[in-house]
Amino acid sequence: MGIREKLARLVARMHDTPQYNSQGAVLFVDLEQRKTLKKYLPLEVLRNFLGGRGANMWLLYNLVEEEREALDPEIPLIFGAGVLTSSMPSATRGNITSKSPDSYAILDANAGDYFPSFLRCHGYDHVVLYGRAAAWTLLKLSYGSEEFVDAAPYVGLNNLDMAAAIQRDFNCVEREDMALARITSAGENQALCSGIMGGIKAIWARGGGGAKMGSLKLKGIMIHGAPKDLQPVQPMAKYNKVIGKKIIGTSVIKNALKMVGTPFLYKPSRVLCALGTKNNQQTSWKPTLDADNFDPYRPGMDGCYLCPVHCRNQNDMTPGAASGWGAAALKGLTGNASYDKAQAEVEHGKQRSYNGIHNDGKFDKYDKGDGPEYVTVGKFGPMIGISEPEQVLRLNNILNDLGLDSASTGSSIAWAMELYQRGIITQKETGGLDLTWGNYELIEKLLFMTAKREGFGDTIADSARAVERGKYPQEALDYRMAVKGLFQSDPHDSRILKAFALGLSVATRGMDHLRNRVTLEINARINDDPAFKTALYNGTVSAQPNSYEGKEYAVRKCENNYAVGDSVGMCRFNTKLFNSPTLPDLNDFATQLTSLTGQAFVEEELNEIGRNVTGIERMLNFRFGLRARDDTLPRRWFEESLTEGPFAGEKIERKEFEAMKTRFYALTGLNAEGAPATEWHEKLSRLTTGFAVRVDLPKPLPGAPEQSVVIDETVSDVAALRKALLHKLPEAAADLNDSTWNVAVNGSMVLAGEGATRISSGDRVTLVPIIAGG
Amino acid sequence: MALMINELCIACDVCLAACPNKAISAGEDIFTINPDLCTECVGHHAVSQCVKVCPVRACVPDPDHQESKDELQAKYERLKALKAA
Repeated sequence: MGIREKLARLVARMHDTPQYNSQGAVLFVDLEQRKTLKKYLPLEVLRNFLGGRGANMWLLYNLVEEEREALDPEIPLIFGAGVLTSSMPSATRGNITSKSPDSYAILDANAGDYFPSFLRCHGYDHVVLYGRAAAWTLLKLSYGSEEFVDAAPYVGLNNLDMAAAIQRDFNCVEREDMALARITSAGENQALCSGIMGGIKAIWARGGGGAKMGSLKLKGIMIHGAPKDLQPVQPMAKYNKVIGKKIIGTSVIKNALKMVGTPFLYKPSRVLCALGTKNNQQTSWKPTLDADNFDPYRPGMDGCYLCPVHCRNQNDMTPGAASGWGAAALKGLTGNASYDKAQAEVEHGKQRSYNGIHNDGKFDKYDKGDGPEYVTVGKFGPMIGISEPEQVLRLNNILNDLGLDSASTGSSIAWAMELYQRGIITQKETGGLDLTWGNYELIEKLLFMTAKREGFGDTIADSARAVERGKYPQEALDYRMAVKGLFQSDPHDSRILKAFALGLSVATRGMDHLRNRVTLEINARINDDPAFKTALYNGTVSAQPNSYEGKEYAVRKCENNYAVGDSVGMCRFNTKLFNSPTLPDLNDFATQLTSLTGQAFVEEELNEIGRNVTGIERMLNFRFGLRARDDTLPRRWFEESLTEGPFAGEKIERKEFEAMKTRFYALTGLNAEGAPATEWHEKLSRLTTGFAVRVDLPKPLPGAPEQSVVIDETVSDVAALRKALLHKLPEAAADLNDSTWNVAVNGSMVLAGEGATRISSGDRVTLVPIIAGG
Repeated sequence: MALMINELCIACDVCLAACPNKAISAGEDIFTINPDLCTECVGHHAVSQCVKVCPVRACVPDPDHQESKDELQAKYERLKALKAA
């Protein structure tokens, strides 16, 4: 069934008018046929999945055909803004969702800046894109009208030039009366590590969104016109003050994020000797990349729409530029150096010394920009052997212009460098490039080659899929720092922190800390107060960072909180548990959701919605072929121990890890294959596709360890049901094709005309082996 | 008219850096806008920057200082001349 047929079925379940206060439309855009359609989601989507990430998953589940390749134009790319996006401080965010071309899992990436808020303010909650445009296209949205614009003049432009050209051609200013989601040359060339840019630095980074958008020949989505109706409804406005005060009153926000941004995290990981270095062969790196070394080049901070934090550190290395914002802000913050308090007093006193990247007094556009985040410092510092902050800044600015995900791109380069170090690849494969650790000139050049897919850049652009695309031999997989085919997002080596490790293994989009990071695992104040910690995570969690005990509670609670945060549009940094226990929580979100939508929500309900969102994501991953074996970690972390630092000798013990994972599955309500257990699966299926039939099996089958399975694609008779079973459980085909297994529907054996026997949603089907003998 | 900051202000300070006229200052509980210096960003931007960045939408028109766009433009020119002097 093609996407247009699936869409027709879906649209029949949707509405022509809003179903609750403030609801925006879902805009379906057929790029191939240049048609649009506007509909509204049923109320039950809000009540069970909210909006943003959650509703995106609902849409994807109904529209995706799992057999198709991710870059097939019939696999949709979905933009979605959170329910509270643009209505609450720091709720600036939106997600893009699809099947990932980079990993083997869902594509789901989150970004802020101004685009998601403009989307909401122009009356849209979601935009569903499918079909390949005949020629490069710019989709222009403005207060409810849609226009397909020829994007030929913008083809080949990277991030900065693309925004400038749109501003010039449409006489507008980005972030004032225009917002733009766009791809760069890397997306056009379908580099799997490319993202979709939403500003000078903001990026929907993970999973290959740039390549996906490029496969549709969509260069950008422009929202034209300043946001209207800025005043929020009462009593929302008053409670926004409570939320805003909570955010800016939080220590880590006030003292670190507002002053220097996320690079403050480099020192704690360095001091702990948990900093992924040289593709995680080592775990400590030089203090030259501590955040205060960037002070001389930091002119100020920037931020997303309606955010009181402004955590985005800017950089300017050109002569005469302002500098010193946030200088010495981290000095004395002992919470920022848990394992060596003396480090809190260490300041490097670095002075400006940059004189152009070749030390020749020549400067260019890459000598200033926004960022870097801690992820970029880690991936383009220790991970590839770079130790100079000026080089990290410049690489950061190039990455932003090329629209490359710094996590996947940096990991892809680090992986190649280790393979080169080991002789698994040589200059024969690299086209003569010397992939020595820390070779700055090579790395800068390689980024541009990656965006163009030129020479060895074509291999880097294949990201974690380089082996299956024939670029590396099979043994290269032993050194790939990825889970579910997605490189690790965070530079943190998690052989010490076991909750962090569990989180990376079970995260639904692959190896990514933003789905469930248990940051507070090394927070001494929390570890010293067991009752407080137990209340935070709804269960007893060991105070020992390297213990496996109770870590499933922490990861489960974080997954719930963050999934809800993404679905209402809240920034992760300002959501309780990610950076602090005092930040806005589910109760705050429930209060504002109730005010905005007119639908009553309570905290417990939101917690369950968070679980629902991850549940439907696991059901999608199951359809993409992922099983419990894919909730794992890179081989290195099981087999190689740390060699330095306070936790030298630490690694992940496989038996302990599997036990922890099993406890996580039980707590979450998953079966032994990591999919929602039958009863929950049935509920989620009914809510999502409107159809659920439980089939009981004569014995546990591969993919169906509970001896039952839920069919949620609409079938009308037993013949179609049998096909659907094979579709759902291809690994159990041998058993399912067993002609001795008869069918009972709602307890009644089907004795004749089996194929045509009617099946309806809610039926219970049993496969019964015929008892032979005389 | 000039803009003012109402009681919803959380004193987060993001408006300080955004104001091109340096018309905003920190108050005891909330920030304040000097109406003599506020041009609603006329002369600088198409959109009032404090309105754009305020996370709680506390920057609103000041009913006690009503000015037309032409008056705001004239104020901008005066301030510019003063700065240059």
